Amino acid sequence: MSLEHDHSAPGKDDLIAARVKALEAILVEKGLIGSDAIDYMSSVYENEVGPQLGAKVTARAWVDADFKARLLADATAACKELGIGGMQGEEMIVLENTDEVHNIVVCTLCSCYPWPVLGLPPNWYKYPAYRSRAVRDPRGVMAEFGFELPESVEIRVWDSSAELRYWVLPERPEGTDGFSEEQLAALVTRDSLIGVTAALSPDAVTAEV
Amino acid sequence: MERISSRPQPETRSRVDSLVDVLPFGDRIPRRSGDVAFDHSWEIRAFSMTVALHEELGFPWEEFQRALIEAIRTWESQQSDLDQWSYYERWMAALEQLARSKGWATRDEVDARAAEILALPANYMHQHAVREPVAVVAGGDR
Repeated sequence: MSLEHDHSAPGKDDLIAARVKALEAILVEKGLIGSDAIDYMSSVYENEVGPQLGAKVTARAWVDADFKARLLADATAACKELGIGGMQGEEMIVLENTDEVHNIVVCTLCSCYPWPVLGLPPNWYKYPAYRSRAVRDPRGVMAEFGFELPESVEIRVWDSSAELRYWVLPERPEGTDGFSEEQLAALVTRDSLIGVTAALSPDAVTAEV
Repeated sequence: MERISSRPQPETRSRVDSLVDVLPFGDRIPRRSGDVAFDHSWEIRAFSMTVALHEELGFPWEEFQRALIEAIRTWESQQSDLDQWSYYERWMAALEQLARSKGWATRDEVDARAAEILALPANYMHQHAVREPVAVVAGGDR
């Protein structure tokens, strides 16, 4: 099913994904369309392929300390417990944010991303601007997303590759005591799982409704 | 997009929504909570490529609608196994048909390029696991 993995025989999805890429490459080479125009259009719906599964795993980790320990020790196995997989032969590591350390994920070369958990990467994840600036100036990148991290917090930037993909376990927001897993999952955004923002505060969610 | 965090204009969203609203067999478009849903990145790419071509080149949307109707009818005349059904697979068939009739790309061109792409291992540039942070910004004084 994967679009990114290198298995011996290409499946139906690999074949059609290759045709889509091929047509795009041809149209771009012929100057009929720019990749940026296609990127822009795909950003319109990119949130609809959101990180529901990553949000579910995060909410479970927030309420179940044993699960959280298993998740941080072996994310691939812990996700499998919740029936989330499809990462054959591929390693996944979850990085825990704390008061002292904030993690942010980038793929410095291309757009390696834990798609079975986080859905599709947003377009900006592929942009050279993000790939270089996340490494050089992570605090500045977070500020662009409206996230002001206290100066006292150390930032670690992690490079996802095809062999080893990272995602972030955000801190559980204040004021969520007694929340159900479902309510908690609604606070987990894709951006918080990449580490460019924190999870939403419950006030922010009620304000939107 | 200058800023990494920039979002598409709200009017783009409504423009795209109105294109989706007039698609044939609209009841078969995969949706989640009312919104158009995609399961694979190629689906969103095929979708976005079509909308971008329509907006940039100005071909009438009806031409794509007709190609999509044709592509779905062709499938129905040859198949009955609904497990094999994919809306966006038909979408791509329609887009390829449109590309041929417009002279944008021939079947041979697409076949040849797709074969090249399949011959490359995925992420062949980036197979090496990186186990340490690539950058650490120490926290300031507390």
